[in-house]
Amino acid sequence: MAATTSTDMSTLNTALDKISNIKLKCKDGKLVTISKRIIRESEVLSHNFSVVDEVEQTIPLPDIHSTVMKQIVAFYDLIEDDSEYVPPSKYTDRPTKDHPGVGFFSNFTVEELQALTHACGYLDMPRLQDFILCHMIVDIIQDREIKEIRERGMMKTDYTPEEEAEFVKRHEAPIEVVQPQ
Amino acid sequence: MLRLLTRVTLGATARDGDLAAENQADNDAPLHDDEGDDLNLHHFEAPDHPQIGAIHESDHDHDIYDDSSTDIESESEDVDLRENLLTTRHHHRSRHSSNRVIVNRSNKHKRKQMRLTSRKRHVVASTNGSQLSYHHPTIQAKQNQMYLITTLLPNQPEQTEENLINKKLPKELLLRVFSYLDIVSLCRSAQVCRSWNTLAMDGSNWMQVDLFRFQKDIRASVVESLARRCGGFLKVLSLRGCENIQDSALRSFALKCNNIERLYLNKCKRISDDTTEYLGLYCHRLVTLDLENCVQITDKTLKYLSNGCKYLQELNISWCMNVTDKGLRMIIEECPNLQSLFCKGCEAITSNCFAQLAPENLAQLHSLNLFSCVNVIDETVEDIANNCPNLEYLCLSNCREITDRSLVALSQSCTKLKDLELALCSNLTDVGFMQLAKTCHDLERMDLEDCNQITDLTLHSLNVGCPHISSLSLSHCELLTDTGLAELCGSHFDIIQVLELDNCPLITDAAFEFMKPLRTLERIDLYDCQQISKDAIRKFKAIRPEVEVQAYFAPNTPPTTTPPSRQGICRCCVIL
Repeated sequence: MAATTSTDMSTLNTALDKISNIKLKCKDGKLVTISKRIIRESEVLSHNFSVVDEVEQTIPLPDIHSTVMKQIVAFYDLIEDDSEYVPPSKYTDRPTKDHPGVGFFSNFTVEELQALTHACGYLDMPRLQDFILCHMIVDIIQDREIKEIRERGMMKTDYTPEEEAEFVKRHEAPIEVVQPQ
Repeated sequence: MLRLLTRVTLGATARDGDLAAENQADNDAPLHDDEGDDLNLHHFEAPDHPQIGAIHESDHDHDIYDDSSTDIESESEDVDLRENLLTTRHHHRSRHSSNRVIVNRSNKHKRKQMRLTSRKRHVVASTNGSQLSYHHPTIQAKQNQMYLITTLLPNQPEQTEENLINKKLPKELLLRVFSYLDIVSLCRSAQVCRSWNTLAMDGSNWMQVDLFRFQKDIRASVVESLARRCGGFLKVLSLRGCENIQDSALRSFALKCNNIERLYLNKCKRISDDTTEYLGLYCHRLVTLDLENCVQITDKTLKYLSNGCKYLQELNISWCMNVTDKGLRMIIEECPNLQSLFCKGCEAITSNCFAQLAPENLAQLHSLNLFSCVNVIDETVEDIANNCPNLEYLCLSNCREITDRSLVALSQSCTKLKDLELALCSNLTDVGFMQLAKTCHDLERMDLEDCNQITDLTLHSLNVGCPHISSLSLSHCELLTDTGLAELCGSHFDIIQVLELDNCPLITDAAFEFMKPLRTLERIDLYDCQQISKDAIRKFKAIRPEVEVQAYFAPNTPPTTTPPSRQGICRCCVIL
């Protein structure tokens, strides 16, 4: 899952060590100071690190608003874990409620979450993606009945009653023999 | 897959969302009750998705089987899934314009969002301030249950904004969510709505499938459906214990899932050479194949595999009694990458099986298990030692014919050995082990159960020659005494984790004195050590409560009660 290979990573680390203070020039023209860890975690930023302006030490980021970037910075300030992000291998390994990052996004509005989702999709930051929404939605789905998933996820079925009935019917026959198409 | 990715990155969300919205109008379908007790495989035809299948399994089944079994390969699965998602993101990044599409899309719906914002803030405020009094109690309870998702999903009954997940989330992210789910949840998700069906049934979520927990419930149709569903995506499939699977199902599986790399068919007793013929013909990327307890297979299987699966690294043919030298040699000679070979209980293998091999054969082998291969003799072990210089794990347990000659051969060639199992090889003596310890310095684990000729001398040589030993089984080594143990414990005090000393009659309570300082000790077995007292164990546990001490003391036999004296009065006398 490593975003970059180990050699790339070591080159990046050496490059990062030379620069003390990295700023991102956001969509609204404002500068946001970011930690080296954010650069390491974002595949896009680490790849674009070569375009950093050596005098001003800024990376142009015309697609993301500074408020969103500040939220990301605040999130990373909260998380002390400095190691490379390894996504949980299974559902039960996901971070618990005690994890400082878990509650961080709970007070955000839908629009903020959406903006963050798009931003981390753009920057390609798997840790952020997981903390913003993935773990929450996994919570909704994992180990629940279909009815429950629909209720909790506010999902509405678009299957026709006949199709639903077909599901039920197939439940009655323990193992369905499926004819190859 | 590429098409899906393109759709994801080019903002298919909006399009599908609209489609979903259109469908919503006439979709007040009654939700069906999911109380079924059996694993079900749904096949389902829908207008825009010609194949929609789903396996459903109830919580009942879920409780019965141990989840841990599904976790064996989960790590590698995860890597695979991540790789796939990584591809998604590479694709994503390579088209920066696609990101803009998403951003633009969000602008497009700005007005709708503005309207939503006020409502959402309202909910947020109420949740945070716990001022939910105007809500119905059950809704309030549900809101509490909903944990963090409240902000995303307003949970008000009058709320009309449904399918928010589909509308707001990029499909890429939803795909990531599905990548975390187990197969049961995936199948349930597929039944939630059509767009979820497409995503949940995407091949990237089905690269690794373990059906162990369903075992006998798995019929041929399930495997066939799975093969059709996963196709070339499937890389790892475990059908351990699925005894109802027959050749026909696996043949069609082999035809469809050509990219399979790891296949576990342990205990699929019905499969025969017919299955492996197709594996050899179509699944050339096979790396791991577990055929343990597939008792019907013969040398033909090994012939097919040696012809077709040149990348084979791990092969398990344990308890396949029909396998002979001929088949095994074909594998050894034709699969140069073979790293692990498990032939437990293959009694048809003779003592010449490994004789006269070319030097490059088995050069990469690092694990070999010949447990209970009764024909293995010293010459066999010498052949193995000469051909497998990289051996790290060797099990010769219950090969009762081997003597110290074998140990000498191993000590000369297999100096990288880390794990050696020699249980029930009762011909082995101190001489052999002294030789072994002179060269095999990497040994970490040894099973010497029932090597009942060894004495403290063996322990002494292990103590000197093998500084890394962390697990040692000395059960039934009846000549060992406290002295030998004391020496071993003294020098390995910071590495020994497991000591099995059951049925060692000469070990006494004094042994606890030098076991106390073993810092890393996790477990000691002391069953049936007659000179170990209950009291000593209790004292030891008081000092080292974290160490698991396994011992059993039969309860005292109750004193025999004297039978009541009848004093010559019989029943009839009393009555009379």
